[in-house]
Amino acid sequence: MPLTFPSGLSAAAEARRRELPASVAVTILTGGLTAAIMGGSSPVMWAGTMSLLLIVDAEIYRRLDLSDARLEDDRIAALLAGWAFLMSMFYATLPTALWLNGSAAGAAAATVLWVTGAVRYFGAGAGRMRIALAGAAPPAMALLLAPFALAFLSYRPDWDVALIAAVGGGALMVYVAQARLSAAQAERTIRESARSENLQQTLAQLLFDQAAVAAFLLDRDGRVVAMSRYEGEGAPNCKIEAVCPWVGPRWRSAFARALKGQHAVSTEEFSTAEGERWFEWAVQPWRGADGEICGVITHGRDITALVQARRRADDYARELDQARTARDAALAATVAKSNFLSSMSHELRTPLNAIIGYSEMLQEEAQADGRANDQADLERVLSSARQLLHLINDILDISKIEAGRMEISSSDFDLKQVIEQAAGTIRPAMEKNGNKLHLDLAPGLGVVCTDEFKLTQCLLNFLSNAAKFTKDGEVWLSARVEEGASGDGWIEVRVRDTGIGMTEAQLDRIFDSYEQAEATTAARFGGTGLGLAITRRLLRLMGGDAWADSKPGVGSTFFMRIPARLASSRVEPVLVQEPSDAAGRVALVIDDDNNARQVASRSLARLGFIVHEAASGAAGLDLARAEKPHIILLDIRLPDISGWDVLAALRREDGVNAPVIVHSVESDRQRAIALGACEMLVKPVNRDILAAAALRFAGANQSFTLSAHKLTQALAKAG
Amino acid sequence: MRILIAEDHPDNREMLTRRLERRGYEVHVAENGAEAVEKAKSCAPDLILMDISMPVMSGIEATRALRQTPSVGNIKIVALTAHAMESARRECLEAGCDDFATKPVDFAGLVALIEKYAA
Repeated sequence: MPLTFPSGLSAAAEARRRELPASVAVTILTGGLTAAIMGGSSPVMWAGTMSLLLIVDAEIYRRLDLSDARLEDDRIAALLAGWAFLMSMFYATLPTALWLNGSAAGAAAATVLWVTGAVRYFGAGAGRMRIALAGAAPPAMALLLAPFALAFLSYRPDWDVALIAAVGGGALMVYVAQARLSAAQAERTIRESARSENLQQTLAQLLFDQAAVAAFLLDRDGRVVAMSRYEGEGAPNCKIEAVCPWVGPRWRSAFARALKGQHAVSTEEFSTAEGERWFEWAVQPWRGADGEICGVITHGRDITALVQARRRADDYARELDQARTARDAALAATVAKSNFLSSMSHELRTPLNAIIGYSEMLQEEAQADGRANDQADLERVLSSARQLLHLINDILDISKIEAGRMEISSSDFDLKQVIEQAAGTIRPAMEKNGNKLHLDLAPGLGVVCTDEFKLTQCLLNFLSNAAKFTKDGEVWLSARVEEGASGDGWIEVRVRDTGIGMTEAQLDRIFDSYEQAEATTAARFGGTGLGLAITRRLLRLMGGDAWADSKPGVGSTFFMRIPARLASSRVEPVLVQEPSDAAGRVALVIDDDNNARQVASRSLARLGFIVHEAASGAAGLDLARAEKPHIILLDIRLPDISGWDVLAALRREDGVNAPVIVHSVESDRQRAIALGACEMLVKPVNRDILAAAALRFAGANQSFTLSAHKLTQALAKAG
Repeated sequence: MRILIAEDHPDNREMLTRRLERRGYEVHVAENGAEAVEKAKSCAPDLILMDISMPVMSGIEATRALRQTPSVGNIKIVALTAHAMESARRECLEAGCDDFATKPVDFAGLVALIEKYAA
């Protein structure tokens, strides 16, 4: 529905245009009348000719105006100049003809008419000047020639009549000329204003049609006066409800308020076939020029996408919030679970402590008094209590693993020694079931770096299983180390028994939590069924694994494989590069265990010490006297004489005053210090600690603490 | 040998006292960490069996307090706790305990430990 914009300028131009035909008519009439009054021999012919010329003249100018042709255009200007000349010639001919016919007054009036006619061609602009000159040329020539013509004819005209005719005709012509000029100007103004209005209207229409809002101009009855095409086309004067979806009760009440001068803005929600839609609309009064409210202006836009996006954003925010809460809750739960585990373990152990302690006391008393029945009963109490303790330990372990709180702490230790210790621990249980335990250890089982405690736990688990499920049979424990690239390697342990064995189906489940091969197994053999699950999980935590092979009635073989750094090929990241003050100093290592001695020697040699080694106490004492070392590393368990005796002998020796570091599996610091040692290090000792102690007591590099710190960091990074 | 048992649980305290006395040790008792510090000063034990979770003052705090007091700073302290976590062990040794044993107590092992410090 196009809009129109009325304007004052345009109205004035329109009025003038309506006057134009009248002015042309007056021109024709007056021209014709003048010609008739002044007409000589044939006034009708003159009047007719003049009228015709005037009509043609007016038509030419009208068409020129309508076609919008410019007078500055050379061709048009030349044409007009020609026309002006022709017209002027006619006007010039008229008085001459009248004069010659003897009508002096008519001739004078015609002259004035002719001059005035020429004047009307004058106007502004370069093009007009040419036309004016062309129009003025014939009368100018006639005027110049007139005195000669008069003198030649010797004729005296009637001046009174000529004056009256000239004044009257001139006034008429001036009026006509003014009317024509005014009409032409009006015509131009109308065209120009129409052009600019057209442009404004087009732009307004464009803005309105393609605007991203639905805009309506409504009269007081709610009928559409104008509207944008946002909501489609509407019939003129239709009700807004027919085209606009967001007109609801709230809008209607806002409409009513707008008619009273209020503004209202709101959001409306609608359900349509395509789903829900949201509109944001505003209603405001439409005031006319005098401030009177003619109707309302209302506009609105579809904000469905915006609302949906906002809702999605809200949903995401809510989900994020929920996820955060859940995460916090999970973290809190983990902490709570862990705390609970820790305190539960504590709470369970405390009464068990009393149960076991008092039972043992009573058992001792029963034994002293020879009460065999009580003794057997108390043994049952104790056995149950120990089983309970075992269960608590297992549950605690599995819970720690599941909560991700199981820590792996690697250290250097002698693998052979650890395996032998485990075998020693399990031997009573083996013997109880009449089993024989064989050790098959590959040569070269040396110092490795992994979690000693957990490795022992896994070993004991395999061994106790073998002991439990084998009766009067044999158990083989084999171990070997597989060396890999760049100091990494694998520890492989195998425990084979001739026990009851398992079926395929049973094998599949034994490493799962709370599973024993059969439900009745627990009743027959005891245990929680957690041992193998814990073993496998611990090994996997350390980067290894556990698996088994079995045949019912023949026996089972359990395997474990653990990654470990092997001491023989360990890399030293920092110390190698640092020059050490220990260079040239002499160290003596007294240790009967080849591996331990070599590891210590290598560590010291790397620091720059000249290292001497002794495998016995006597050899050590000899070397100490001969080499005068700066530092002595002394083991306690020596084959010939005890390390304590060596220490005492060294202190008695006058020539030997080297500081002695006692390096043993047993911690007896007090005794070591009392006997004159400077330091007591418990095996297996961290190599860095050994190095730091050696350098400190050998009076070497005092700043080693820092280096050791750096080394520890480097090792931690190297994994 | 004089042993001070710091233990808040009455049954466990009583049990340990009786068993150790039966082995011929002179036993003194304290019910919490603060009392343990006082008793350590008054009766000068050779060794303290220190429970960790105790009211008023924990075993950890008591050990630290003892280690900072010159007159009692060299008494051997064996932490005795029902906390079996690895971290508990570390915490005890860092606080200044000489050794660590978990409850339920392996009595033979405990006696061996005591004997080691008696030597």
